[in-house]
Amino acid sequence: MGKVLKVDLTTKQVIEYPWTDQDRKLFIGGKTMAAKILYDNIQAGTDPFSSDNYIVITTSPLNGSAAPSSSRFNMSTLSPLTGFIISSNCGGNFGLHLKRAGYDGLVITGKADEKTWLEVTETGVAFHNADNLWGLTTSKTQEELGGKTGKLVIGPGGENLVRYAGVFSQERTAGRGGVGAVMGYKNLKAVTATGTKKPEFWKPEKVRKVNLSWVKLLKNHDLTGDKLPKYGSAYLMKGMQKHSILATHNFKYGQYKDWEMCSGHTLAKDHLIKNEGCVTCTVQCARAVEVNGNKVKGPELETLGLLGPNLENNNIRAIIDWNFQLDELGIDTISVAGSVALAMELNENGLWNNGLEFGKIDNLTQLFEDIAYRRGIGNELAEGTKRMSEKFGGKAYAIHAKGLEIAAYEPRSAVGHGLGLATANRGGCHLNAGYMVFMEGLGLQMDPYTTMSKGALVMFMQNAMEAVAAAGSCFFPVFAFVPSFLIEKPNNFITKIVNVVLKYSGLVVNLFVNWMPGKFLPLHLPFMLPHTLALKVVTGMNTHFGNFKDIGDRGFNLERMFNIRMGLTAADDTLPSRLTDELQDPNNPKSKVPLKRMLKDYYKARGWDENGIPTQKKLKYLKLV
Amino acid sequence: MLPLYYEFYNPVKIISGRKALENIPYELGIMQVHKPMIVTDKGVVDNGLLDIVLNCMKDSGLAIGVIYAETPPDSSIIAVNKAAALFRDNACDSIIAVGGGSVIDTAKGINIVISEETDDIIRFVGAERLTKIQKPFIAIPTTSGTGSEVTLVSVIYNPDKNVKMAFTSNLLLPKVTILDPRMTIGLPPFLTAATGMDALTHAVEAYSCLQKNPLSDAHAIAAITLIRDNLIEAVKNGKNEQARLSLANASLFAGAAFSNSMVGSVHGLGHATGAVAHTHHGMTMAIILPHVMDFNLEKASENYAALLLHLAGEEIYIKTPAPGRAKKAIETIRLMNQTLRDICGMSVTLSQAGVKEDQLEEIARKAMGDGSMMFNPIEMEYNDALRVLKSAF
Repeated sequence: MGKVLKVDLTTKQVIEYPWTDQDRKLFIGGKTMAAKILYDNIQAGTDPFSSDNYIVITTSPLNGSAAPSSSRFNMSTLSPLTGFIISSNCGGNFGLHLKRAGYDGLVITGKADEKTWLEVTETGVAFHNADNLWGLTTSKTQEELGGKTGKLVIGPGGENLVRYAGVFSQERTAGRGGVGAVMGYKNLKAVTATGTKKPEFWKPEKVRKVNLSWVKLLKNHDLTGDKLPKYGSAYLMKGMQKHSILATHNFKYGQYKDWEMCSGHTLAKDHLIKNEGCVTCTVQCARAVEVNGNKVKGPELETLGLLGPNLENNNIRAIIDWNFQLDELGIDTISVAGSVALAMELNENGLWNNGLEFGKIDNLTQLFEDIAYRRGIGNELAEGTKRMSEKFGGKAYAIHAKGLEIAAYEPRSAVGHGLGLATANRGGCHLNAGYMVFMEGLGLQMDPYTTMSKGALVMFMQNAMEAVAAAGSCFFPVFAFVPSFLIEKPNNFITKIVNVVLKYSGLVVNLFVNWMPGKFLPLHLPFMLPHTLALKVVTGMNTHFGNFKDIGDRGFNLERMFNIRMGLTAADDTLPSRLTDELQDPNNPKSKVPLKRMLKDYYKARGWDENGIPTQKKLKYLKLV
Repeated sequence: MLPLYYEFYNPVKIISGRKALENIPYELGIMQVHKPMIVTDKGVVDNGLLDIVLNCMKDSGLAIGVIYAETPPDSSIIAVNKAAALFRDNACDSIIAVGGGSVIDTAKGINIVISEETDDIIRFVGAERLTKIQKPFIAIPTTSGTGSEVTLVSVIYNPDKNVKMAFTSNLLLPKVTILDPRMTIGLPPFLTAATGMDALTHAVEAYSCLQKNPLSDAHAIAAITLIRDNLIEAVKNGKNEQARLSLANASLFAGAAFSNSMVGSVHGLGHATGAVAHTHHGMTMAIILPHVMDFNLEKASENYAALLLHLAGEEIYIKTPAPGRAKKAIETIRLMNQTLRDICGMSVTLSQAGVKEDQLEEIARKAMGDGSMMFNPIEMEYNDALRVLKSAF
């Protein structure tokens, strides 16, 4: 139970930020803890590029507990891309080192008057001049900082305020929403953390036992124990193509004829050196590939999809090279790829003469460089799809929600996922959306076009993801949430029954989970979220399933309240009209996202009024007022 | 919001200003007394402050009965008895205390012994056990401070039992108190900071403890505002008369506030720390205050949020979203401590103050016996106390 430090870059003052036991009980850690801190400190009308913006870096109780896949930490800020909250999650080891230094979180505000990097140790924070680091790539910066410390760095993208610049820790990234740009604005190039403090557990022997049984569960599951380690997140591309949720040609289509050339199988067969992963993870889904004779981290699913099918590119070698280049420049691959796709379509439609074409890849390496340095058309693309569409047109196919570019899952064949995207607090994020594609094709196969039960299920999934993130765990172990049997045998009659039942499960899910006060669900469901038991033995808090899903609900509503203060209304719970009004398959009248209908059910499930604002009753129950 | 029931009592006549000491003969005249005993300590004498006071009285024809200048740092029964004997031997009829909290408390103790015509002050330990009207008493504080010049409490050390005894009675309040900047102008930076933070702690605790009422609140807010605007200046530039007078007033207001609404766990833990590790009272309060505020946050957040306006000023108050104001108030106090450390080396952690880690358990145990703990917004048990002390370490 470490302290939380507040660092003011303007005054160079470092003090302890008040974080009480009551706060820990209600907000656990990670993105939810960060949301609370942002909610308490950022007033309406604050400019993301200002010294009044805060960057909140938070760890979670599971960090350092040796639970599987538990290295995840969080960075939240007011996003320069969306104007709303962005919580950006990362698997690098910075969080673990921050905890070893004795801190659960770092709250950074102000703006340094010179280029700065911060050194966090057990005795406090030292300010260093970063002139010699400024301009370096992310890997070079980490190399220069050297030593056995945890590091957070930005690249040229962040320095030049590219609106979707990310922050890097080892080869993992807090990629989305432009946290890197906020760091760049504050003249903060890097943060390091070192320490020797050991975590304290409530019941250490039980922690070992719970971890062992959790690892066993993961190893015996088809996805987490076999497919994801072998093929990485890229494994899912096969299912996406099959179910027409593989975004192609700027989300115009749901399938790509050359999908196999970009798939996880091809990646594994032709380019993989070995699989690697974050510290403490048993899944080890990362791809180690070769670029210019060096072993580097390879592309994730969304990168493959958005720089492949979505640009009509089937050259996987190019994608591998671009992925590494973008990591070095410090830029979110999803947002940049979405921006490029929009630019290509604007060119195609004669709205913007920029020389970019679908399938034409020889000018993209230079383009990415230009984006990071805001040169030429790169300067326009650095603004993101929302601002590009406001300037050049094409709002119907600027594929973002709330300004955050949507990842490679095409929601017209997974409408629940579309609902999730439209309502996620950070914008078009597939994880914040509750990852409904897992229920609508990639894991289970409930009816992907129906609106029935989607409101209730999306709420439940979003809350679960929220709580899992707050606990410090990676999303991948959550794949084991659905019994392996159902995933391995999609045509088995039991699986078929489950899929049908899901379609009608909405009322039951609402009554027995969403609307049920947590205290009436004092269970630990070992395979469905082992997190609850792991949290309990580590912290001693009563984090049974009921409380856990309430924590998720609390976190989701807290981010929503923050967004409302920053100007969010129900009108922002939307998707580009290509996804809501145009049919993906002209022969299937259901192949578009019937958002308005689902929103009604969703607001009801959430306990929000018809304007999407949480009611006082709801907020009181969640102890947010 | 009015409490269902409250009491507020402050009968002390307050005289504040640049030449306020000149009023002493007049005030003694009104009270129809002629032969005051002056109670003070070596520090006051050595710094020339007693001379200033005597000078103000010399043309009046008043005869000083006797001067007792041996008051020890935490007061003591021995000193009280000795001084009371001097009072009797010299047929004095009033007391003038010139000094900090210990001197004023000693004077109150002497007054008990004389007025109750006793030789065993211990019989009167506790609350409201005095029976006789006390001798006329003028308090002249030389620190800003304990606020003892307007409190109904006297804390006196009993060396036989190694305990501090508290005497509480409305009868103990002085008739007059005089705030004159000449009395604090020479206070060195560290003492200015530490005593200033003592006053701030009184005000913050008075505003958030269980017995608060609208009048104590008003005094607390007045104190906080003056400290906010004058403490750092007085530490940096001790010769600033206006700052010194402002702090003297702030200390008085804070004393009046907590005299009526009581203090809480900051003082509970702080007294115990002082008793075990002999740390400076005011500095200990400053160190512990933000950590107890963290502990109290659940119940006291509305009060702390309201205090933000006075602790940090309008601009910061408006800039901070409502849900975050209570925490921002705690942050402001932390920043104050940090600033004072940078300027004059005041400690901000118990370890810096010289407390040893193995003393924490004893401190927590002792704190449980301190009356102030009763008034804290959230009941603090032994384990809570230990945790708070650890986080302040």
